[in-house]
Amino acid sequence: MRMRTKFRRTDHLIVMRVTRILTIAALVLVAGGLRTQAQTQSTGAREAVVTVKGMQCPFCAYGIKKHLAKIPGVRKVEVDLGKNQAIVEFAPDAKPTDEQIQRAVHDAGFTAGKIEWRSTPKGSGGTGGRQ
Amino acid sequence: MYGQQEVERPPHWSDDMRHAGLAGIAITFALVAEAGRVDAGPITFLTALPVAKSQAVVRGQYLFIRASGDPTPANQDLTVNAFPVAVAFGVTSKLALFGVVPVVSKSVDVTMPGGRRTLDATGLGDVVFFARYTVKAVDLTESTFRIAPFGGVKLPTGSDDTSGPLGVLPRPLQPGSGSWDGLGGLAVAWQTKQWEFDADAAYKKNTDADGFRFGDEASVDTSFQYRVWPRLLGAGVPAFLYAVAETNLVSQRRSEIADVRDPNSGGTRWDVDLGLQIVRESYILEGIVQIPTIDRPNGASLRNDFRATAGVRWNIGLPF
Repeated sequence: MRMRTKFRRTDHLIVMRVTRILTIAALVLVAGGLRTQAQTQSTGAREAVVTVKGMQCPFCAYGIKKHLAKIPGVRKVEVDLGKNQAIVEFAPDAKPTDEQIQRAVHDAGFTAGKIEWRSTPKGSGGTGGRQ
Repeated sequence: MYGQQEVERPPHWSDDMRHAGLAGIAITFALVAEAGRVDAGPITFLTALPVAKSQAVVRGQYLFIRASGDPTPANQDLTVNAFPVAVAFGVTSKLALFGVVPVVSKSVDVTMPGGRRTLDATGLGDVVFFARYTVKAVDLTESTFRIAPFGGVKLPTGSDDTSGPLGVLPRPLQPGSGSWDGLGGLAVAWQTKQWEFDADAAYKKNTDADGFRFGDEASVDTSFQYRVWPRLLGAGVPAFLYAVAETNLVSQRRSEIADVRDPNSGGTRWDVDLGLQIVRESYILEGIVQIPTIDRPNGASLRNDFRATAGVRWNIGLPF
């Protein structure tokens, strides 16, 4: 009897701990899910992720930013040198084309590669930004 | 190849001052080559990397040059301080125009019968204009390779009749050469994010002015730049710190005075250079020291002790 009582107490403690862990895990998952849902809501704006071939140093990135920023409707330009990418964000009413982006990169002295279009995630910035 | 005749000297060319040859002349070409190079890449010569269309790059520099080793009793020591400012403008993504405006101060200490004296000249140097066109560009994700010929002209804007206590200074000590000269060459660049290799070959054809003609100059340069910081690239556009090693092979024919070759002018020099370069999006800070490893001046010309260069370049986006 004594042993059975002891076993029950231990079992109860384990159940309590597991319940706590599962509750915390569930809360974390729910919070993460809500955050992801908020991020994937589109602002209506679009952005182009452009592969810039030939861009190898910071001094080169300057001209690429300047020329991409001249495309009508551009709200923000960012460059990721390590990935050879320029991310160009456009206003919702802008009508950018691949040709405009290719021309801008060419005028900067480089070659545009793959251009990937995607919706601008909500809360990702949007206005201003360094050019 | 070069004449060995003794030169009949102009009246203003004193016995003690006629040996300022190689060092004095090489400065002119150095100003063209170094100041003209405005986009990222090597420090001491022109690169083939592009200047964006409708973009300007301004470069300000300070050059310090010491030359000595005069075997004659005159025991000349030459010091040069130069402040060239260069502007590059991208007409198209392939065609760039360059302009170089130097301010030059040359000073020579010389032993004369009356003792040690200093002769100097300071003023606007010769303005240089040239164009560069990219004939080959291979852009890949992890590298770019460029070939670009260039050519231009040096105008006689600098003073070439500055006088000292003994009259008009010899031409190599003047801020300007007095002549219209042509220059041309070919630049090659191969750049990755970790390193960059540049090379160029150039020739400068000098012409006669008032009976004096500097010898033509030919040069071959190489540069290797290695990114030492950051070790790993993060997001965005981080600043780069490059360690720079360059070499410059310069050969110059003898000068001519009244169509007679000066035996104490011209020669061949090979410099090895070490420097650092900080590259950011909008500007570059850099410095380099050039040490002559091989220096074979003709006759009693001076030998370069060293050259030091410090400079800054700015990227300027234009509104058109």
